[in-house]
Amino acid sequence: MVKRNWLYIPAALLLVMMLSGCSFITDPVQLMKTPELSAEKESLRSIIEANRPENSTLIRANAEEDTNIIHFVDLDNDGVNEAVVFYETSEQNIGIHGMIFKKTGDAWAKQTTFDGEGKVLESLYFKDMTNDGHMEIVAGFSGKSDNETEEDLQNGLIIYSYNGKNVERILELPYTNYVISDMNRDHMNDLTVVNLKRGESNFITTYQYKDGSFIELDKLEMKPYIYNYYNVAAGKVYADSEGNSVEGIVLDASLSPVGESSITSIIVMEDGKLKSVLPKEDQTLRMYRVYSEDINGDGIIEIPLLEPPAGWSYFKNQDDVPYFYAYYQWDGKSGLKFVAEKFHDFKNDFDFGYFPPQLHNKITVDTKSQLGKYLRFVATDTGKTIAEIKYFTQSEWDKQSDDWKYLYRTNGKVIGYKKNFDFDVMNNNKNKSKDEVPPIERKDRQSE
Amino acid sequence: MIKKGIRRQIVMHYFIVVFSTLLLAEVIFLLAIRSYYYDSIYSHIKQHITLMEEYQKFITTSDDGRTDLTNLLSNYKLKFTELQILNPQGDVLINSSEFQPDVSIKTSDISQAQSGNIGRWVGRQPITGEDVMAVSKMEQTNGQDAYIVRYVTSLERVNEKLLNVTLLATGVAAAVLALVLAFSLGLANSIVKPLNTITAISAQMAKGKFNVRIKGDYKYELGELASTLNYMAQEIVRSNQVKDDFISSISHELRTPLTSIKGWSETINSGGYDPEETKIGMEIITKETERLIGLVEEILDFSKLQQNEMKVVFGRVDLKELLQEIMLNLWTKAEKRSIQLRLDSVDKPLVEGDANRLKQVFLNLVDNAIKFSHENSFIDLQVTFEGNNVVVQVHDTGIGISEDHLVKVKDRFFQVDPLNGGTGLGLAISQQLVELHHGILLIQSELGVGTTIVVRLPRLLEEETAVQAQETQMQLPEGSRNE
Repeated sequence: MVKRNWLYIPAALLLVMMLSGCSFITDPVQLMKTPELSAEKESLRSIIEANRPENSTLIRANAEEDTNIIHFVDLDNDGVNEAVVFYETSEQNIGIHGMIFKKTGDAWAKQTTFDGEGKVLESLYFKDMTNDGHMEIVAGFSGKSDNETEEDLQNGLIIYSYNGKNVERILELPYTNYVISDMNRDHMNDLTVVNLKRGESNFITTYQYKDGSFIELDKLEMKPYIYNYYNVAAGKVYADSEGNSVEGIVLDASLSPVGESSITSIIVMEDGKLKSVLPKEDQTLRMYRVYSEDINGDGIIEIPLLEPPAGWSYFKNQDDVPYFYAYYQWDGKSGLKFVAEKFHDFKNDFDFGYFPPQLHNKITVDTKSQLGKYLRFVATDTGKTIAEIKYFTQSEWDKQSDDWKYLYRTNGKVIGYKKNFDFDVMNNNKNKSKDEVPPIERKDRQSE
Repeated sequence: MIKKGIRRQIVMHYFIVVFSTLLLAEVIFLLAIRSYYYDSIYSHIKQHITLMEEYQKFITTSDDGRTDLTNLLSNYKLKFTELQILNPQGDVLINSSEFQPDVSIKTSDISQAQSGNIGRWVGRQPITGEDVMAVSKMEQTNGQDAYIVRYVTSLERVNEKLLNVTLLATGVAAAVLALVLAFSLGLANSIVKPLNTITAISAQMAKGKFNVRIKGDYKYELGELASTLNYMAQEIVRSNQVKDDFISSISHELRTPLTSIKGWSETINSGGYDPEETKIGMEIITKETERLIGLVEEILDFSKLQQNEMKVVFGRVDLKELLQEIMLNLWTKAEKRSIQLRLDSVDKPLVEGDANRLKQVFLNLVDNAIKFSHENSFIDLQVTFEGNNVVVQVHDTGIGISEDHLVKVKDRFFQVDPLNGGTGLGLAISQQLVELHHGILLIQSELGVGTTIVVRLPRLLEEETAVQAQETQMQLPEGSRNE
């Protein structure tokens, strides 16, 4: 009798296991799960999910300060961040909508929904445009859909103001590009809008909020014979020796949809009037698109020019010319002032330089050099070799790496260099990423 | 709890062996299943990354070289994971969840990805405390590290599953253990119960109850133990019986001459010492007294042999001469029953031994042969060499011994017919004496046909004898001196 009871227990146990439907092995992939959010985030997320219409998706702007879907901004200046989201629907008239959520205690609650315009949220910034301590929502919309290849220059800019309950549109403008800066240096944000109608008109207008509405500070007409502005940068464009700086806008324009040539304009405001400070625009004409930016960290935007090295001006095929990137700043009058110079390989996308300032106009590339194979940098006066760049295949590189130092690596190519002059060849490459050198090459670099 | 004993020991042994085996198997099984689950998820993500890498090759990045994060995010997206895209330094650029991570990511998968491998990290999310797996890989554009894709997936359900599997496995193990314990208890009982029974019965035997027997059909060693005990009890009973028989027969043996002695002394005493009568009486008294002395000496011999106090003086003995002597000694006894003694011997059957003792052995054997032979028969004494042995056979055609009695005739005090006179010690003493001489005594017999007694003694070779003879000349036994 006792023995029998012993046998019943495991049998019953096994039966219970089987019947409880506990299938023993399941596909592990079926068990994957999106990680949970923290309770606070989850509550906000579920509120947002509950409030957005069906068949809508939360979207990011194409240009904005961060990559978040949910933006936390203190719109009503009460010290607690509100959450702002945008979503798109398949509605024909107005595809973009925004929502604002407010946190009271531990719970989030929707405050309001507001409409956007068009079909694409091009840009989104949160800035105090009215100088009342409240952030405004600055959003740029466009109507283009994905299958349209032609870039539409006409976008709509809307500035929304949130008063704690409702959202009000305080400005609506058509625009091509816009920047928020302080052109008239009154320590209040102003808005500069570029409105380009290709071949017809090209206006640059600066607006500022004053007494309940935006007023036009000034309007400048530019030549409309450009294709588009591919880069618009706002910031300091000049500083004199006493440290007085000039704020401005740098516009990099490409001239045609097919070619790569580009020019740059610098716009500043003097005595409340907008002014283009480089009267001769062709002095910035370049064969390729390059970006104006602050390359040396002095806070002033540099304008890059592409200069063929001495002796290369007569080469017909532009692709063969080992162009130097020469960076200039506005000289405060109507000209440009040299800052720095480097070699850049377009095809393989690497930098060599910057060259030391004393070598400016004194360094060139031996015309027997060939891009993609071997380049010899020589001094123009003495003809002495200053540096060499050689393109290796991986097997060639493995055979000898003692003579040549590692510069860069691309698919299937290793670029090595030699130099007889003291300058930092890695300057720009290093800025891009400190860890981009593959691990096998680290030793070489450390031993430099 | 089972009380101390074999039962507990068996159960414990089983328990320990099965438990450790199960434990080992479970641990290996669980580790294997855990790595199966984790590896499957890892390879699923890895496969997705590889697939998307191939796909990504066909997507031209925008001409200014700046990667479109949103597109990357939607391209690499994988169901049930959170996708993050990090720059090569490990800062999150964009992630698929609605929120940016609150703290920077410093898990080991990032550093593995930075060194060019596919990074894998299993751990706990800092804020939610959720178990997650992160898989990271550095993606390159144009040979240069461009960005890291990092997938994070929750392992909560996997771990829950693993817990279930663990519980199930533990349950099964417990069940197996219980089953094994039940079996081992059964096994232990099958050993312990008979042992207890046997112990109880042998305790009874120890108290003198030799008529109890161990009943039950036990197997193997237990069966042997039981039957051995039973046999022991039976043997004790039998030897008691033999002893009782001996006492009754010895008292009878002792009483017969004593009665005769007493009778004659009374007759002489009351008869007025008639010289003729007194002479006959005294002769009979002397004879009976000799018989008594012989009887007592036999018993003494036996008791000496029993206590290993028998002293033998070894010398060279010629068995042929010894047997001739015996034939002379027993001639009259044989003649009375018209029995003829015949000797057939090889030359010089020498053995090393005590001549008196050996004579005693063969006297006894031949005397027995005469005693149990029919009248007008022959008794053959045969001496042969057999290898290094001398073999003496005493063959008669007498009444023989039945098979049942054959095994017992060499026992002390055993007599086929206790009323026949004698002590029942003769053969037992002969046997022990032969063994003392490093020989063997065998009995072959068939009831009604006759008996052959074979004595095999180690042969003494001629050369050895010569040397030994000189050395032991002084101690030569009587039998040898007659040569």
